Amino acid sequence: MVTHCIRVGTGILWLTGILLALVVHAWAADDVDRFTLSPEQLFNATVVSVSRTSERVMDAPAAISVLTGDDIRRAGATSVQEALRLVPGVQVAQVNANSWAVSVRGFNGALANKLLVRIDGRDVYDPLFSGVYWDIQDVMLDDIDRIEVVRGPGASLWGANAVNGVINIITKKARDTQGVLAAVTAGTKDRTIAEGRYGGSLGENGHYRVFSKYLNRSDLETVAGSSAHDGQQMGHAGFRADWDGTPQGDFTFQGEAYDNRTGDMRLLPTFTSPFSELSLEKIEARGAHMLGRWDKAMGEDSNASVQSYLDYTMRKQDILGDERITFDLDAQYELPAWGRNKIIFGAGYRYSHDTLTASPYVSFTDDGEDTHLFSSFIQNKITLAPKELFLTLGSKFQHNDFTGFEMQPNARLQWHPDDTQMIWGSIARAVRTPSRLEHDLTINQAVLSVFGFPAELRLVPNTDFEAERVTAYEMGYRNQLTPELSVDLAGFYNDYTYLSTLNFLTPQLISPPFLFPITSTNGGRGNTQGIEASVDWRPLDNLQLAASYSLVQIHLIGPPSNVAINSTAAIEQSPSQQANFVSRWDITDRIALDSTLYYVGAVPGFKVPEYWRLDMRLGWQILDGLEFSLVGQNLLQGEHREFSSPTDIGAVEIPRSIYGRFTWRY
Amino acid sequence: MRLSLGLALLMLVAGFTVSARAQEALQLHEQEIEAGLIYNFLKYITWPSETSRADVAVCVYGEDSFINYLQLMAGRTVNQRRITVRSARDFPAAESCDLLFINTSGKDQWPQMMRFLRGKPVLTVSTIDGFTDKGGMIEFGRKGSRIQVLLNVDAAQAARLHVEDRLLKLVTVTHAPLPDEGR
Repeated sequence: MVTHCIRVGTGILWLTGILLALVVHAWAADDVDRFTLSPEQLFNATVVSVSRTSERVMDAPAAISVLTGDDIRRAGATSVQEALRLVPGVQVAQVNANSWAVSVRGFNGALANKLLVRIDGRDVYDPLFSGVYWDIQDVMLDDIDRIEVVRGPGASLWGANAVNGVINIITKKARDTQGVLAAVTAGTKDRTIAEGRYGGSLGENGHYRVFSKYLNRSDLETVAGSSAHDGQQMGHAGFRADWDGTPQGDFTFQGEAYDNRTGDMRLLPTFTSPFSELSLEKIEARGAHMLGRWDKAMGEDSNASVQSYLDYTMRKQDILGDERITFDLDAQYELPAWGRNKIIFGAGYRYSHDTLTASPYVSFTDDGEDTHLFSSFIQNKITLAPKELFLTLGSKFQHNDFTGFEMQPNARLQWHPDDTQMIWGSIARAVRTPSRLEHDLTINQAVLSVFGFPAELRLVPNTDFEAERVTAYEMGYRNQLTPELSVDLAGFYNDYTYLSTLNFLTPQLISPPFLFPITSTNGGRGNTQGIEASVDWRPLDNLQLAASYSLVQIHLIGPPSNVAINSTAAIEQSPSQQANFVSRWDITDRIALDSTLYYVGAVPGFKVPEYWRLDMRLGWQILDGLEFSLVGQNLLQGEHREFSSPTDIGAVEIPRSIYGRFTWRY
Repeated sequence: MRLSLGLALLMLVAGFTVSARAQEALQLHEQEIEAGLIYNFLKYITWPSETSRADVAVCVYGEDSFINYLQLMAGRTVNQRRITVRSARDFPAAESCDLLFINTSGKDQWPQMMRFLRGKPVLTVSTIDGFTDKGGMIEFGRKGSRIQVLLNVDAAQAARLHVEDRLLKLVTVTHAPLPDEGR
């Protein structure tokens, strides 16, 4: 306890010190008059972006893909998770009408836990299960500036749990969404989507937007042909205000609130024969958040930013109720170049409190818990040869309540043989810290029949559960062969230790109901290896072609099946090969035809055979401010499963679907 | 753990032993650089004498918040002419400008506008991809983390605009003669 207090105290001191330094520096720095700069100086100036690194994708020594708002629109996607199908190395599978499994480089699951997802700098990773509820991450697509997907551990800048990747969703500044936008989508799968937005200005440097969106997704059909009761109704509204280029820097305030109703169909365990009963569950989720950010250029090549947010989420299911409030404060500082060193460092604190509601199926050691997370990072980009060779060394240091101190170092080397090519390599260590699920929850997984008597398979918590660890070795090559043609290759070898497995404890077989307790242990290890390749080609002014391929091979060694039940399950839940082919053709100035063809390899864990999926979009700019698009999805097949066993009661088929969308801007 | 310690040590050693001072470039927001360059275009490009009014009009076609960056130069003088900044809502309004900025959302209207502005001394500037190939004069693009400027000298010449050598040396010169309509 004493050491804990010391750590907490040190953390707070650290943070106060940094904040103080930032504030002092902010008032000391003075502004440059852009119009006194010579053309030479301006041509030589580098562009700052709002993201944590101001490097352009081409220059970043990592496996990065960027989806722009335009890419998403032209793929005909109606959600962020659907748009992620375009990115090599990302596995996207729709579980049912309201649930998706998304992961990077394998280990997919409905709550895949080795991926960090952030929207405008706010983590949307749920600490209860270490996963992302994709149904509630419903961003208004026209607001998206870009989605940056970093495959591999981005740990040195982005915190824990970015074991296999980071997805950063970045929305446009308010000044880029001025005026009125109204859009209506109607279709067979996405039954209705209605969006409205208004943007205006606030004084000399300020802009704002307010928006609201309603979404209604139809129930899908189960394999047996009945309704899966899994439709979704969601409403949300929000705002964003930005003040750019004020003498005190750039300011952003944004907030949003949502209400989401979904459902699902599943078998819940009972202690009477046949030991399970059908449940048609109604799931309610509500939430709201507020975020503020301050960014300031400190002279020529230095930058400071402070960000804070408050996030409330509530999710009520028959098996568990969960209410959580999170406060996060995060600061970072980029120092001016010092010799050949370019140092950036930062620190953050997160407080989270949850209140859980038990059910006959789930109970826990304590129903409300405060958690504190302290983190800091430092990174130095060292110029070994100007414009040619750089070494980036960094590490993230974190203290969490479950496993204590975690260090996640990272070394990256990048070589630019010329202006258009780059070769990079990286070694990084990252951790996935335990969730409340592994640490505190007792779950009645299933009731089995043993000679006609009920036997409960019960997941019990393990307070000694450690963080899962990975050491990742990566290499990549990028070449902008001509202004019209570029290629990007990446290869990786990930070495995992302390992977979670579910091990059997001593059973109770004296009297029925019998009990088979299982618990999460760190008994698994293994490795994954793979490659990702993509090509982008613009043969004509009005035609863009792109293709990508990804391969992931997973090798896991866990305790034998009489000791553990899922130690190698992850091998079978991700397709080993994926590919996509994109064509974007502007037939005339006003008519565009876009096609995307996806190949997804077999997912043996769910007996899902390999499939091809074709999505097409016809876009027509009817008037200057009015656009109509007609999108057909999954055109090649009547329906197919993506992420559920044919024997699951709620297993759904993803149908062929069509929608039309009118967008009006004024 | 041993690897982590090794990396940490390496970081400390490598980070703090190398220390030759490298010349670092300015870091600015994209719009700041572009606004700065537009100011320099007014300075290093000469308009035909007949339009030398007392003021020089910089316009933005369509709704674009980029105008806020340009507003900061309003009221300054360049080559003894006072800069005014305004938005141009339609083609006739665009015709009376000296410099016209068209954002990417004006892509669809550009071919029509180009025909409308033919032969008029209006310097057209845009971020539209391939703008200089479609009869535009100046196109802002990116090269690495720097702003790249493409200049279609044929289009500028046709509008009787003279670009000084200092600017010509910095931009990427392209040639795309205007299609002859002859109808």
